[in-house]
Amino acid sequence: MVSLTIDGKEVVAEEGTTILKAAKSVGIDIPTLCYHERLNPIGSCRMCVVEIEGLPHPMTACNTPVVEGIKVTTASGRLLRMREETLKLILVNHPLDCPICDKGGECTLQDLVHEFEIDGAGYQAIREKRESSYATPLIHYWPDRCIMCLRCITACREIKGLGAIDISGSGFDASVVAVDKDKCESCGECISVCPTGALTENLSQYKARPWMVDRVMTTCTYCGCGCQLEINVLDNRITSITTKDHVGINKGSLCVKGRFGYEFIESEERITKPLVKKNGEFHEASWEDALNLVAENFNTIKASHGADAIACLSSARCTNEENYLIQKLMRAVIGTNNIDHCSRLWHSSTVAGLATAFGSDAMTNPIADVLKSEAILVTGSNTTENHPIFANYIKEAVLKKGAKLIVVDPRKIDLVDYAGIWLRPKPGTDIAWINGLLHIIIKENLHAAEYIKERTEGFEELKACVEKYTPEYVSEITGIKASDLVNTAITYGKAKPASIMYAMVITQHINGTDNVKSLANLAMLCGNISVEGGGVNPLRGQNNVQGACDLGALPNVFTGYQPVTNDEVRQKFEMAWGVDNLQGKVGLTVTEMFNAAEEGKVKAMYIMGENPLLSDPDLNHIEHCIKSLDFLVVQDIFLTETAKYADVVLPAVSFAEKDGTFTNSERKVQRIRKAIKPRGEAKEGYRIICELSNKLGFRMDYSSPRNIMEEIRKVTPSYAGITYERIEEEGIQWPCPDEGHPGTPILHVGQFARGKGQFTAIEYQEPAELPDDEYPFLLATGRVFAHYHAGTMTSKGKGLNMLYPELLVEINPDDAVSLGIASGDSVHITSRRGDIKVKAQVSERPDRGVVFLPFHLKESPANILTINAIDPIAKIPQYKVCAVRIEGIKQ
Amino acid sequence: MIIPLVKGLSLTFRRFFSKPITILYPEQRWECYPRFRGRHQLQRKEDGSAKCVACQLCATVCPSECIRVVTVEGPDHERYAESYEIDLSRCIFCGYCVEACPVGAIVMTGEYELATYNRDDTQYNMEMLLEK
Repeated sequence: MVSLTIDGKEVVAEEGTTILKAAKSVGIDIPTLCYHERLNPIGSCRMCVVEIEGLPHPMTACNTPVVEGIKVTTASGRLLRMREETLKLILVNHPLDCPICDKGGECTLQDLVHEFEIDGAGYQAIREKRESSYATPLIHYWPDRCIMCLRCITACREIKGLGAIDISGSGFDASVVAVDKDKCESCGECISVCPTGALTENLSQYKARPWMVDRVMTTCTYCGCGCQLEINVLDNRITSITTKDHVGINKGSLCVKGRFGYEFIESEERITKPLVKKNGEFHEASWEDALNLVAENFNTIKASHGADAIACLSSARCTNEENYLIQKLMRAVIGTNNIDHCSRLWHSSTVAGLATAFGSDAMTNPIADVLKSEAILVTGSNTTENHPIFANYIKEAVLKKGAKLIVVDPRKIDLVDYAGIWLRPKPGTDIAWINGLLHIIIKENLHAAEYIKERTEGFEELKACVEKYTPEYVSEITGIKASDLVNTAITYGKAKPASIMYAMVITQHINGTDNVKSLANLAMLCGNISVEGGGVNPLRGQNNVQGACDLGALPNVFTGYQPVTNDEVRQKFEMAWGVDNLQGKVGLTVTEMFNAAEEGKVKAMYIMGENPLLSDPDLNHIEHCIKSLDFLVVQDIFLTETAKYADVVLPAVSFAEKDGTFTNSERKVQRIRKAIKPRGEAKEGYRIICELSNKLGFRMDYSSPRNIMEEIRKVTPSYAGITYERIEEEGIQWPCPDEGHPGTPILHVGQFARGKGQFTAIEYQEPAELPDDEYPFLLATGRVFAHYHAGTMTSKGKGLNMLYPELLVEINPDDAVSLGIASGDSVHITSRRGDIKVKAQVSERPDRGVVFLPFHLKESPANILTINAIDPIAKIPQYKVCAVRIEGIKQ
Repeated sequence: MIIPLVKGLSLTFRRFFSKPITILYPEQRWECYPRFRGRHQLQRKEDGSAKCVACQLCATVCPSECIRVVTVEGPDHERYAESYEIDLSRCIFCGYCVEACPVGAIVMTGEYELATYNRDDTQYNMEMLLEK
């Protein structure tokens, strides 16, 4: 500790602290412009000058560390004059156009100019009108307003790790320009740190002054990161999205979807009235009529074909409360366990795999833990595009904390640029390389023998199984160089702790469950479970996919993974719900539901907020299945491809129009809050389900989602301590067994949920469909950063479409040459199941023989091509590997 | 007692011979003073478009909250008012809006004949406010 005097006050500060921070700790404010807490000190604005006794010149407080015994003055006459001069010099260039500036009212420069009582009359210069361009069309750059504080550039480099913008020119001609437009992810980090109005949002035509808007803090509706953001509302209209520093896991950062992807909420294409199909055409109907029709049909089908002829797709996009109610409706009112949701298509292998290994299926550690990791293994996750905020943490761990990043991915994803080691296995050979790592770690004696003995079982079988996976053998299967594999194993094995992150490329295989178990083996082998900075972390793709699973929107479990086959559990729920006939038979999964529909076993379906006709594999097959249904109800915000086949469409509301909770990938239950009124006659999901239930003869009366949460707490041990009051400010990570419990950031501390960690010996098996002469390419599907999932939301506004207007298939340059294709050419992609026409983008990202196709946009639905082969345990389809043929189209 | 009465009456009689203060409205009309605060008027730029930059300061400063401006941004980032409404039935003619306006887009005219038969006619929209 260092003691010093600031303005006569005795201050004790830690060594290395800056004078600015030390002053702040005792309530002395030093004016700053370029300083930002999340960034390393820049020291460009010279506003924070202070005098130190004995030194001839003033020093900048933001980057001068404290020294024992110094006497600092923060506000002498000389300092004030210097600050005034600095501001006057800034105003030479900066116009006083505060009335028309978006930032006016919350601008740091405006505040300081007021404080120092300066007008624009200080110095004059000849101003020339300057052309403005910026790295992204979503942000407008005002060169005159820019004060060259360099916050934006520093944030882009330090927080995003991109360095897409930099300064060009000098003196008055200096401006911020794009270094590389392709690098820019349009995340808007630069806007959020800009102290003036030099960077403004370019999307919403409607402008509001900061003091006029209501800022409603809520949780983002896109990926599983669960970022906290503020919806700015004026007159029931969304004017922009902002963030607060320090709030949520994002700490003020957002990605392009979070910051600019709000246009869908006010889209003209929203359904605003219930629609009922008569003679093949949709007609608007009243809620009363529409719900009566649904109830009538459900009753008839239940009477004639039994309750199991009705199935329901719940949604990982909807709130916890809605998921709870819909599974209650299916189980207690209809009387079937046929409920599932799209988690089946993404992470069911995680649920099955991690439950076997550890006894619990979620991310074992919070994401901020990677900052404590020595090594991070990222596999099968294009984190920068799909979980941009998690990627920020990974980059921070690498760039600022010196963690070693190992990327194992067939594609050359952006994270590879930050990685120390990049392995490029052939798609679908994950078990082989993981077993290879296990083999080397055991051979090199890097495994945590004590930990294995005390806390796990099945090690001997594993050891015997991986015996044959020598580096050479693995190299043969996967194409990874043997020496690289040894390097990786040693890096991972020696790091204490080391973290594993994975996503769809691991899970979406016919052996997805085994892939997950293999990763669990790897983590347990090195004793990385239940420690800070370790863990096996499945990155969940959707805002509430964790919550939908937790709340029992699965065919085999009630809320909190309490199995439906257990009599005691069923009795508990019968008591809680006031019914006496809960079914003990496990229901159908998504993939099975559609097959059952085709066979005529399932007659009616209720689809809440999902679009299987774009997101499920082998679309032509799904379309046929949906057509075979007698009765289909779709509850959604848009008339999706699936909704077009519905008999009744019920208009629901988006996340901005309802209250509730989402559970993010880290198991953190967070609030969402109603910012605007529902569009037209659209209703919140819980109201729709309650009204339908009442029509089916089962009373459901909930005045608000808060009441539903109260009921959830009573029946779900892991949510028992989570109340709306407790999560008002900050979410809580389950398990949280009582109201005094602080939540559980790290799982399996002391003991695994299932008692002992289970090693599983797993042999490598080949993917279901490999390329052959007829279909020589491997197709992998996935996402791009500008779009989300089925594109239902992201393709509705102009902003995100501007960044990624049409589907592009990525082809390796070598393949492109041999096929005679250049970027921008149209190609036909054909698989055994269908064909589509898309434009090609020649890119280094995919390996030779592999093509990558995003599945977002309905114009070219990638899932027409994908195979419906499923994992035998988790029933997850194999999206990531299917064989295709590519042909250029002659213009 | 008699003296105050005479004093009072003398004032009354003097008024008989001075110029009257009242006028024969509506045949005669009162010419208002230059700084009189009557109905608002929005000013135009030289090219004929409204001067208003829709900064919302008038609406913010208005004590009776009778001004409503909708701000939009054009393709070249020019900022203008899509609509500008004043509820004259609530306006207290304090003139703060004129004072707050950074571009001199709103002034108060000498027009004081604002009574209407219909309450709706007290709602002035942008076209009405731009009229000379």
